[in-house]
Amino acid sequence: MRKSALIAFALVACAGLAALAAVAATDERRLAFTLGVLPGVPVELRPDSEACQRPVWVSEPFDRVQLQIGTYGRAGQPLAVSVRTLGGRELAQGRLGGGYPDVSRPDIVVGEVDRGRVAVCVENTGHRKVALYGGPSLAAVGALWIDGSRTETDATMVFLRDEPRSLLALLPDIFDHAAVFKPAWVGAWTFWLLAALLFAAVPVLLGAGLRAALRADGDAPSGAPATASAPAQERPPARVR
Amino acid sequence: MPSPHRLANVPPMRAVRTGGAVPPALALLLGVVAILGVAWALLVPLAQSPDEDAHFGYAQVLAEDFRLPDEKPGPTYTSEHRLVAERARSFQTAQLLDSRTEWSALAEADWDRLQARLPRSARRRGGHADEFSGANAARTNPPAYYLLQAIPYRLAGGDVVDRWYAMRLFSVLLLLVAVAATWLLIGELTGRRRLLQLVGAAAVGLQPMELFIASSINPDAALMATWALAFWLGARILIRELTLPAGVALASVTALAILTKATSYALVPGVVTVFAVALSRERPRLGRFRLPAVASAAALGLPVLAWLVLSRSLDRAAVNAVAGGGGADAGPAVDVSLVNYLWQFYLPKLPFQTGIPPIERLPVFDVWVETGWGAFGWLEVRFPEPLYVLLGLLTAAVLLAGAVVLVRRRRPAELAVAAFMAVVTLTLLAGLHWVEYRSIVYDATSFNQGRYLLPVLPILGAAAAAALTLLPVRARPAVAGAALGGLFILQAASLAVVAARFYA
Repeated sequence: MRKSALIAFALVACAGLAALAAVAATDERRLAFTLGVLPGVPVELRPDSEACQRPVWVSEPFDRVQLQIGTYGRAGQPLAVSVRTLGGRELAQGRLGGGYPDVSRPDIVVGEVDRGRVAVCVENTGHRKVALYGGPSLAAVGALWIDGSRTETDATMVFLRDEPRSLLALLPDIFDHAAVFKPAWVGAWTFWLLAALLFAAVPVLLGAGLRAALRADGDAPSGAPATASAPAQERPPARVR
Repeated sequence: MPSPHRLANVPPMRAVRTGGAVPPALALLLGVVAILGVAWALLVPLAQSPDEDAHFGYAQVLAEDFRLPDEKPGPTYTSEHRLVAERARSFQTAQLLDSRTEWSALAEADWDRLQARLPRSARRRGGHADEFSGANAARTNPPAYYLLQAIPYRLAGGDVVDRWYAMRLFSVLLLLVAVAATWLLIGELTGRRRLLQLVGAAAVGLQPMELFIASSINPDAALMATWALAFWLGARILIRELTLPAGVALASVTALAILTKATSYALVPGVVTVFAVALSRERPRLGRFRLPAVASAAALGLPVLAWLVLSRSLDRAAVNAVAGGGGADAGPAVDVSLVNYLWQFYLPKLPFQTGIPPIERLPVFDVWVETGWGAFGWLEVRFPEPLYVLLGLLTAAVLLAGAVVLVRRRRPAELAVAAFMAVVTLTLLAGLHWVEYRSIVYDATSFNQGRYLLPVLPILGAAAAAALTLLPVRARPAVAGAALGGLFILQAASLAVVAARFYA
């Protein structure tokens, strides 16, 4: 009896874990980080104007910047995107050709940028205005500056990697990210430990619980004698547990 | 009807005197739930569970200023709370799958530098109503849970994040109480059949939504614990007899539940049923039960009355603000009858019925099943829909099997326990539907969430235990093992979707 319970438990747990691992190995993502700004406010960017979001804290290396751009119903204008140090030194740059549709979210390849504090600037190199989407400057640190003037908006910017990575491969990053804005005693190590407990200790403890329950029931299948024949009232109540 | 104990010729208090150590299976299950509770508490980002910012704000006002949140003009949250919420991007990530909470260590270091400079007064003077956030959404809750949370808040010290997570970890303890109480409830019903107790208690302790809510700062954690205790104590009285300690314990737990959240008034008709049944079968010796009955009434009535008087003297609502009240003056926003609403909540819309915009799909599935089994974050983190279909079918099958067992056995004590549970559940459902109906009619918004049914989860646990007894004897251990394996995988999958949503 104990054996069949443990085998069933192990089979379901192993099959489930295998399915989870398969999903985690095939769910691929390119997100390096985001400013977390939803596109609600269009900010006009005239020809030759430059919009800079700064400072941007680079928490993970990225190769591309994704923007949301409006074109006022016309063909999109070419844009130049550059990533600079806060002192103005260019770290990476890329271009977006014209002709993209209105309210689109193109990725602009800029080359790899590692960590640090940077400014991400977008210059309209075309001859018609475009709109850079952003949101109210409520929460994100920094702001969007247009030709040197600060706005009350943050740009919607998502930073991506060239190569997608599976959730399984991202696990160390996930645990690093999870340790941020947590109590002082929590680090990535805490989540490695919890993962080990989840995938090793929890099934062992549940299996042991199953065994203990069956042993306490005297290996008689639960509910067989007492609940099938004797009414609850006629059983000695003995202990509550 | 004589007491079951006298039938068995066993003095009722022997149960307590002979109580020994915690059974190994329960201890192991509690260990598992504790590990998972800690994992949930630490994994979910700050304020990424329903209304957690409001519940933290309430507890902070109570712990720092020893007063309740109000609607006077002033900051809703303290300045240290606002700073961390802004820097961790808590507000702008809530419900928005495209956004992420801040995961830059540089941003955290910058916040740390700023918060270290905050004066002590940055922890105080919240709990009012500012233009941005309005009044604290939890302000109409009674204070019991928040008073409890003041303990870890005070003990943790440190910065706001340290205190926030200490409060979450403290909440996990309440889940352990709920699991232990469910174990005891099923023990009472089945005569200490450990396998049945293990499966039933695991259905509560490993249910993903229960763990998610119980490991965040939310009075529902205390609700789950107190309701589970009430179910156990009520069943104990119905199966054994009404004694002074048992009656007072049930009444006190009910009072504590009411002082935690006004939803718990739904327990009262069920508790009254318990006392009515217990007293009716002792009719020849009613005098002996006068003291337990009076003491129980006092244990329930006095704390609740004290809170009602206090809230009136403070010019506060004594019960939760009822949705839909605000728009009542302006007249109905949606023209729908209560019957039509209830029909479309539980059954597909008929051709001649008009649709109800806030509940377009079948809410019995969308709300009770989906957001009852697993909707994390601010409900935006979900499983693939086919999994909910499976979980819905399993839930229905388990409840049906529990009913079949009950009908087959027709034992008076068990029927009385079932009546107690049914009265509580139906009262809860009636209250939730009435609030949602008003919300739809006057505000054109829905109200219900599956988590509002979590306090009655021990009933599902008891039904799961009963369902096992319907199986052929030799099949029971294997099915129990498979059920535990399934619950374990559901936990792993839940933690994985939460990690992927917030950190990848």
